[in-house]
Amino acid sequence: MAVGNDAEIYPNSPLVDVICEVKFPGEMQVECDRHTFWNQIRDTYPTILVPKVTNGQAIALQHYRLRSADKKRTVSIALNSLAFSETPPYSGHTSFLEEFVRLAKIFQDCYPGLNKVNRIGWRYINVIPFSKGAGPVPVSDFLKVSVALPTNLFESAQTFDARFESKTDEGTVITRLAIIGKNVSQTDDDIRPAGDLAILLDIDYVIEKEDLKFRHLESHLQRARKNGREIFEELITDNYRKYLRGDTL
Amino acid sequence: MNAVVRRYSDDFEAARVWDVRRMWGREQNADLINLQYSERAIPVLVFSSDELRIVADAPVKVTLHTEDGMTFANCDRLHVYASGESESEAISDLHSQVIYFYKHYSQLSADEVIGQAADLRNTYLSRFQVSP
Repeated sequence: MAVGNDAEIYPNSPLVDVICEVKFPGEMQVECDRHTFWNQIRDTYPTILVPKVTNGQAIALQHYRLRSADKKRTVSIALNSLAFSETPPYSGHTSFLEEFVRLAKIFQDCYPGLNKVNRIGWRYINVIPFSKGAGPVPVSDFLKVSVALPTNLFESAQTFDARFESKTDEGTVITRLAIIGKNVSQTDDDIRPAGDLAILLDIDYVIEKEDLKFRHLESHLQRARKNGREIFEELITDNYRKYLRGDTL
Repeated sequence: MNAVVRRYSDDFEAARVWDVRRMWGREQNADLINLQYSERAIPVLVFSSDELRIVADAPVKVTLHTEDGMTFANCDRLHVYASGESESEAISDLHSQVIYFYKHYSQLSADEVIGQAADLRNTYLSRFQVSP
Protein backbone atom coordinates (compact mmCIF):
# COMPACT_ATOMS: atom_id res chain seq x y z
CA MET A 1 0.00 0.00 0.00
CA ALA A 2 1.19 3.48 -0.84
CA VAL A 3 2.72 5.28 2.09
CA GLY A 4 0.82 8.47 2.79
CA ASN A 5 2.34 11.50 1.12
CA ASP A 6 3.58 14.01 3.60
CA ALA A 7 0.76 16.46 2.90
CA GLU A 8 -2.08 13.97 3.34
CA ILE A 9 -4.43 14.79 6.19
CA TYR A 10 -6.01 11.63 7.55
CA PRO A 11 -9.69 11.85 8.51
CA ASN A 12 -9.07 9.44 11.40
CA SER A 13 -5.80 11.05 12.42
CA PRO A 14 -4.47 10.11 15.87
CA LEU A 15 -2.77 13.50 16.30
CA VAL A 16 -3.59 15.21 19.59
CA ASP A 17 -0.92 17.89 19.48
CA VAL A 18 1.46 19.40 16.97
CA ILE A 19 4.19 21.57 18.41
CA CYS A 20 7.17 23.33 16.95
CA GLU A 21 9.73 25.23 18.90
CA VAL A 22 12.70 27.44 18.12
CA LYS A 23 15.32 27.96 20.79
CA PHE A 24 17.83 30.77 20.68
CA PRO A 25 20.49 32.22 22.99
CA GLY A 26 18.72 33.93 25.89
CA GLU A 27 17.57 37.42 24.89
CA MET A 28 16.73 39.76 27.78
CA GLN A 29 14.50 41.91 25.60
CA VAL A 30 12.09 39.01 25.08
CA GLU A 31 11.73 38.71 28.84
CA CYS A 32 11.41 42.44 29.47
CA ASP A 33 9.28 43.49 26.51
CA ARG A 34 6.81 40.66 26.09
CA HIS A 35 4.11 43.19 25.43
CA THR A 36 5.88 44.35 22.25
CA PHE A 37 5.30 40.98 20.62
CA TRP A 38 1.87 40.46 22.11
CA ASN A 39 0.68 43.85 20.87
CA GLN A 40 1.43 42.69 17.33
CA ILE A 41 -0.57 39.47 17.62
CA ARG A 42 -3.16 40.13 20.33
CA ASP A 43 -6.00 40.32 17.83
CA THR A 44 -5.41 36.67 16.95
CA TYR A 45 -4.10 35.49 20.32
CA PRO A 46 -6.07 37.47 22.89
CA THR A 47 -5.70 35.17 25.90
CA ILE A 48 -2.64 35.19 28.15
CA LEU A 49 -1.78 32.10 30.18
CA VAL A 50 0.93 32.78 32.71
CA PRO A 51 3.34 30.24 34.19
CA LYS A 52 3.05 29.28 37.81
CA VAL A 53 6.14 29.19 40.01
CA THR A 54 7.51 25.69 39.82
CA ASN A 55 9.96 24.49 42.39
CA GLY A 56 13.49 24.51 40.99
CA GLN A 57 12.57 26.03 37.63
CA ALA A 58 13.68 29.46 36.52
CA ILE A 59 10.66 31.66 35.81
CA ALA A 60 12.35 33.26 32.80
CA LEU A 61 12.65 29.88 31.12
CA GLN A 62 8.99 29.06 31.55
CA HIS A 63 6.67 30.02 28.74
CA TYR A 64 4.06 32.72 28.70
CA ARG A 65 1.38 31.29 26.47
CA LEU A 66 -0.79 33.35 24.15
CA ARG A 67 -3.87 31.52 23.00
CA SER A 68 -6.28 32.07 20.15
CA ALA A 69 -9.92 32.79 20.94
CA ASP A 70 -11.00 29.33 19.77
CA LYS A 71 -8.28 27.77 22.02
CA LYS A 72 -6.89 25.76 19.13
CA ARG A 73 -3.59 27.54 18.62
CA THR A 74 -1.08 28.66 21.19
CA VAL A 75 2.06 30.76 20.89
CA SER A 76 4.54 30.34 23.74
CA ILE A 77 7.42 32.66 24.53
CA ALA A 78 10.24 32.54 27.05
CA LEU A 79 13.68 34.10 27.44
CA ASN A 80 15.20 31.62 24.99
CA SER A 81 12.26 30.09 23.17
CA LEU A 82 9.41 30.65 20.74
CA ALA A 83 6.95 27.80 20.27
CA PHE A 84 3.67 27.22 18.48
CA SER A 85 1.16 24.44 18.94
CA GLU A 86 -2.22 23.33 17.66
CA THR A 87 -4.76 20.90 19.01
CA PRO A 88 -7.08 18.84 16.78
CA PRO A 89 -8.55 18.97 14.30
CA TYR A 90 -5.14 19.76 12.81
CA SER A 91 -5.40 22.32 10.02
CA GLY A 92 -2.54 20.71 8.12
CA HIS A 93 1.13 21.57 7.96
CA THR A 94 0.82 24.22 5.24
CA SER A 95 -1.40 26.49 7.30
CA PHE A 96 0.43 25.62 10.55
CA LEU A 97 3.84 26.40 9.11
CA GLU A 98 2.63 29.55 7.38
CA GLU A 99 1.34 30.87 10.69
CA PHE A 100 4.47 29.97 12.61
CA VAL A 101 6.71 31.63 10.01
CA ARG A 102 4.51 34.73 10.19
CA LEU A 103 4.80 34.77 13.98
CA ALA A 104 8.55 34.20 13.87
CA LYS A 105 8.96 37.12 11.49
CA ILE A 106 7.00 39.42 13.80
CA PHE A 107 8.99 38.06 16.75
CA GLN A 108 12.28 38.82 15.08
CA ASP A 109 11.11 42.29 14.07
CA CYS A 110 10.19 42.96 17.70
CA TYR A 111 13.54 41.72 18.99
CA PRO A 112 16.14 42.65 16.35
CA GLY A 113 18.97 41.32 18.51
CA LEU A 114 17.85 37.79 17.62
CA ASN A 115 19.77 36.17 14.85
CA LYS A 116 21.20 32.83 15.83
CA VAL A 117 19.07 29.78 16.53
CA ASN A 118 20.26 26.92 18.74
CA ARG A 119 17.64 24.37 18.10
CA ILE A 120 14.55 23.72 15.98
CA GLY A 121 12.09 21.02 16.92
CA TRP A 122 8.93 19.67 15.35
CA ARG A 123 6.85 17.33 17.45
CA TYR A 124 3.87 15.14 16.61
CA ILE A 125 2.01 13.61 19.55
CA ASN A 126 -0.26 10.75 18.50
CA VAL A 127 -2.70 8.88 20.69
CA ILE A 128 -3.87 5.59 19.20
CA PRO A 129 -6.86 4.11 21.05
CA PHE A 130 -7.14 0.34 21.22
CA SER A 131 -8.93 -2.33 23.16
CA LYS A 132 -6.89 -5.29 24.24
CA GLY A 133 -9.51 -7.33 26.06
CA ALA A 134 -7.74 -9.77 28.31
CA GLY A 135 -4.80 -10.17 25.93
CA PRO A 136 -1.56 -8.30 25.41
CA VAL A 137 -1.33 -4.86 23.83
CA PRO A 138 -1.94 -5.37 20.07
CA VAL A 139 0.97 -3.16 19.01
CA SER A 140 1.52 -5.02 15.73
CA ASP A 141 -2.02 -4.11 14.58
CA PHE A 142 -0.94 -0.48 14.52
CA LEU A 143 2.82 -0.15 14.46
CA LYS A 144 5.75 -1.89 12.85
CA VAL A 145 7.67 -1.96 16.07
CA SER A 146 9.50 -4.91 17.43
CA VAL A 147 11.69 -5.26 20.46
CA ALA A 148 13.77 -8.40 20.52
CA LEU A 149 13.21 -9.75 23.97
CA PRO A 150 13.38 -13.41 24.98
CA THR A 151 10.24 -15.56 25.12
CA ASN A 152 8.03 -12.94 23.40
CA LEU A 153 8.22 -10.59 26.35
CA PHE A 154 7.45 -7.61 24.12
CA GLU A 155 4.61 -9.27 22.18
CA SER A 156 2.92 -10.34 25.42
CA ALA A 157 3.40 -7.00 27.19
CA GLN A 158 0.42 -5.71 29.15
CA THR A 159 1.90 -2.22 29.30
CA PHE A 160 5.19 -0.47 28.51
CA ASP A 161 6.83 2.93 28.42
CA ALA A 162 9.90 3.42 26.24
CA ARG A 163 11.83 6.43 25.10
CA PHE A 164 14.41 6.40 22.31
CA GLU A 165 16.81 9.27 21.75
CA SER A 166 18.49 8.75 18.40
CA LYS A 167 21.25 10.74 16.71
CA THR A 168 20.73 12.01 13.17
CA ASP A 169 23.06 13.90 10.82
CA GLU A 170 21.72 17.20 12.03
CA GLY A 171 20.40 16.59 15.51
CA THR A 172 18.28 14.17 17.44
CA VAL A 173 14.98 12.32 17.20
CA ILE A 174 13.23 11.58 20.47
CA THR A 175 10.54 8.95 20.16
CA ARG A 176 8.36 7.88 23.02
CA LEU A 177 6.21 4.80 22.82
CA ALA A 178 4.00 4.08 25.79
CA ILE A 179 0.65 2.77 26.89
CA ILE A 180 -1.51 5.44 28.46
CA GLY A 181 -5.01 5.32 29.87
CA LYS A 182 -7.69 7.64 31.14
CA ASN A 183 -7.28 6.22 34.60
CA VAL A 184 -4.56 4.57 36.59
CA SER A 185 -4.98 1.29 38.41
CA GLN A 186 -2.83 1.01 41.46
CA THR A 187 -1.99 -1.95 43.59
CA ASP A 188 0.53 -2.18 46.41
CA ASP A 189 3.49 -2.65 44.12
CA ASP A 190 2.23 -1.63 40.72
CA ILE A 191 0.84 1.40 38.92
CA ARG A 192 -0.47 0.93 35.40
CA PRO A 193 -2.76 2.73 32.99
CA ALA A 194 -6.37 1.57 32.92
CA GLY A 195 -9.55 2.47 31.06
CA ASP A 196 -9.67 3.91 27.53
CA LEU A 197 -6.23 2.58 26.78
CA ALA A 198 -4.18 4.06 24.00
CA ILE A 199 -0.71 3.81 22.51
CA LEU A 200 1.18 7.06 22.80
CA LEU A 201 3.46 7.69 19.83
CA ASP A 202 5.36 10.88 20.39
CA ILE A 203 7.88 11.89 17.72
CA ASP A 204 10.09 14.90 18.31
CA TYR A 205 12.44 15.68 15.42
CA VAL A 206 15.16 18.11 16.42
CA ILE A 207 17.70 20.02 14.33
CA GLU A 208 20.67 21.26 16.33
CA LYS A 209 23.52 22.76 14.40
CA GLU A 210 26.01 25.56 14.87
CA ASP A 211 25.01 27.68 11.91
CA LEU A 212 21.22 27.85 12.28
CA LYS A 213 19.83 31.29 11.48
CA PHE A 214 16.45 32.84 12.12
CA ARG A 215 16.20 33.92 8.50
CA HIS A 216 16.40 30.29 7.32
CA LEU A 217 13.77 29.14 9.74
CA GLU A 218 11.17 28.06 7.20
CA SER A 219 13.40 25.61 5.35
CA HIS A 220 14.64 24.10 8.63
CA LEU A 221 11.09 23.70 9.88
CA GLN A 222 10.01 22.11 6.61
CA ARG A 223 12.82 19.59 6.94
CA ALA A 224 12.08 18.78 10.57
CA ARG A 225 8.40 18.32 9.80
CA LYS A 226 9.00 16.17 6.74
CA ASN A 227 11.42 13.91 8.61
CA GLY A 228 9.07 13.59 11.60
CA ARG A 229 6.19 12.69 9.29
CA GLU A 230 8.32 10.13 7.48
CA ILE A 231 9.11 8.43 10.76
CA PHE A 232 5.38 8.23 11.52
CA GLU A 233 4.59 6.84 8.06
CA GLU A 234 7.34 4.26 8.35
CA LEU A 235 6.12 3.20 11.77
CA ILE A 236 2.44 2.55 11.04
CA THR A 237 1.11 -0.64 9.48
CA ASP A 238 -0.74 -0.67 6.16
CA ASN A 239 -3.95 -1.74 7.87
CA TYR A 240 -3.74 1.11 10.34
CA ARG A 241 -3.11 3.53 7.45
CA LYS A 242 -6.32 2.22 5.86
CA TYR A 243 -8.13 3.04 9.09
CA LEU A 244 -6.59 6.53 9.22
CA ARG A 245 -7.76 7.14 5.65
CA GLY A 246 -11.28 6.13 6.56
CA ASP A 247 -11.08 2.94 4.52
CA THR A 248 -13.01 0.94 7.09
CA LEU A 249 -15.93 -1.41 7.41
CA MET B 1 -11.52 11.62 13.58
CA ASN B 2 -11.56 10.73 17.21
CA ALA B 3 -12.51 13.87 19.01
CA VAL B 4 -9.67 13.85 21.47
CA VAL B 5 -9.25 17.11 23.28
CA ARG B 6 -7.11 18.33 26.06
CA ARG B 7 -8.63 19.42 29.30
CA TYR B 8 -8.13 23.13 28.97
CA SER B 9 -7.10 25.28 31.87
CA ASP B 10 -9.23 28.31 32.53
CA ASP B 11 -8.00 31.59 31.22
CA PHE B 12 -5.23 33.00 33.34
CA GLU B 13 -4.83 29.78 35.22
CA ALA B 14 -1.18 28.89 35.47
CA ALA B 15 0.10 27.39 32.30
CA ARG B 16 1.44 23.90 32.06
CA VAL B 17 5.03 24.17 31.02
CA TRP B 18 6.54 21.96 28.43
CA ASP B 19 10.09 21.93 27.35
CA VAL B 20 10.71 20.30 24.02
CA ARG B 21 14.18 19.29 25.12
CA ARG B 22 13.21 17.32 28.17
CA MET B 23 10.44 15.07 27.09
CA TRP B 24 9.97 13.40 30.43
CA GLY B 25 9.72 16.63 32.34
CA ARG B 26 7.59 18.47 29.87
CA GLU B 27 4.39 16.56 30.15
CA GLN B 28 3.63 14.38 33.06
CA ASN B 29 1.87 11.15 32.25
CA ALA B 30 -1.06 12.62 34.17
CA ASP B 31 -1.44 15.27 31.45
CA LEU B 32 -1.63 12.64 28.77
CA ILE B 33 -3.84 10.40 30.85
CA ASN B 34 -6.28 13.27 31.15
CA LEU B 35 -6.99 13.19 27.44
CA GLN B 36 -10.72 13.17 27.10
CA TYR B 37 -12.53 11.26 24.46
CA SER B 38 -15.95 12.44 23.34
CA GLU B 39 -16.04 9.45 21.02
CA ARG B 40 -13.58 6.64 21.27
CA ALA B 41 -13.19 4.60 18.13
CA ILE B 42 -10.86 1.69 17.58
CA PRO B 43 -10.00 -0.40 14.54
CA VAL B 44 -10.50 -4.15 14.83
CA LEU B 45 -9.23 -6.51 12.16
CA VAL B 46 -9.57 -9.97 13.63
CA PHE B 47 -12.68 -11.45 15.27
CA SER B 48 -12.40 -14.70 17.11
CA SER B 49 -14.37 -17.05 19.29
CA ASP B 50 -13.55 -20.50 20.62
CA GLU B 51 -14.68 -22.06 17.35
CA LEU B 52 -13.85 -19.58 14.61
CA ARG B 53 -11.43 -16.82 13.70
CA ILE B 54 -12.20 -14.43 10.85
CA VAL B 55 -10.16 -11.59 9.41
CA ALA B 56 -11.57 -8.49 7.68
CA ASP B 57 -9.92 -7.09 4.54
CA ALA B 58 -10.09 -3.59 6.04
CA PRO B 59 -10.19 -2.44 9.63
CA VAL B 60 -13.65 -2.51 11.22
CA LYS B 61 -14.34 0.79 12.94
CA VAL B 62 -15.81 0.11 16.36
CA THR B 63 -17.08 3.00 18.46
CA LEU B 64 -17.05 2.67 22.22
CA HIS B 65 -18.92 4.64 24.81
CA THR B 66 -19.98 4.19 28.40
CA GLU B 67 -23.37 5.01 29.79
CA ASP B 68 -24.92 4.18 33.16
CA GLY B 69 -22.06 1.87 34.02
CA MET B 70 -22.40 -0.14 30.81
CA THR B 71 -19.95 -0.08 27.93
CA PHE B 72 -21.27 -0.24 24.38
CA ALA B 73 -19.24 -1.34 21.35
CA ASN B 74 -20.95 -0.65 18.04
CA CYS B 75 -20.29 -1.01 14.35
CA ASP B 76 -23.06 0.54 12.27
CA ARG B 77 -21.74 -0.84 8.98
CA LEU B 78 -22.04 -4.42 10.25
CA HIS B 79 -25.18 -3.68 12.25
CA VAL B 80 -23.57 -4.97 15.40
CA TYR B 81 -24.40 -3.42 18.76
CA ALA B 82 -22.66 -5.05 21.70
CA SER B 83 -22.52 -4.26 25.39
CA GLY B 84 -20.91 -5.35 28.61
CA GLU B 85 -20.13 -4.26 32.12
CA SER B 86 -16.57 -3.48 31.06
CA GLU B 87 -14.85 -2.61 27.81
CA SER B 88 -13.37 -6.08 27.47
CA GLU B 89 -16.83 -7.64 28.00
CA ALA B 90 -18.35 -5.38 25.35
CA ILE B 91 -15.56 -6.20 22.90
CA SER B 92 -15.95 -9.89 23.64
CA ASP B 93 -19.70 -9.58 22.95
CA LEU B 94 -18.92 -7.74 19.71
CA HIS B 95 -16.61 -10.55 18.59
CA SER B 96 -19.32 -13.12 19.33
CA GLN B 97 -21.94 -11.17 17.37
CA VAL B 98 -19.73 -10.67 14.32
CA ILE B 99 -18.86 -14.37 14.31
CA TYR B 100 -22.55 -15.22 14.74
CA PHE B 101 -23.60 -13.04 11.79
CA TYR B 102 -20.76 -14.36 9.64
CA LYS B 103 -21.90 -17.93 10.25
CA HIS B 104 -25.55 -16.96 9.82
CA TYR B 105 -25.03 -15.28 6.43
CA SER B 106 -22.68 -18.05 5.31
CA GLN B 107 -25.56 -20.48 5.62
CA LEU B 108 -27.94 -18.37 3.53
CA SER B 109 -27.92 -18.39 -0.25
CA ALA B 110 -28.24 -15.14 -2.21
CA ASP B 111 -31.87 -15.79 -3.15
CA GLU B 112 -32.87 -16.18 0.50
CA VAL B 113 -32.09 -12.57 1.40
CA ILE B 114 -33.32 -9.23 0.14
CA GLY B 115 -32.69 -5.55 0.84
CA GLN B 116 -30.48 -4.77 3.81
CA ALA B 117 -29.99 -8.43 4.60
CA ALA B 118 -28.60 -8.97 1.10
CA ASP B 119 -26.17 -6.08 1.60
CA LEU B 120 -25.07 -7.47 4.94
CA ARG B 121 -24.63 -10.95 3.54
CA ASN B 122 -22.51 -9.51 0.77
CA THR B 123 -20.39 -7.54 3.24
CA TYR B 124 -19.82 -10.47 5.58
CA LEU B 125 -19.03 -12.94 2.83
CA SER B 126 -16.90 -10.72 0.61
CA ARG B 127 -14.98 -8.75 3.24
CA PHE B 128 -14.20 -11.47 5.80
CA GLN B 129 -12.16 -14.63 5.49
CA VAL B 130 -11.73 -17.52 7.84
CA SER B 131 -8.23 -17.52 9.23
CA PRO B 132 -6.43 -20.43 10.85
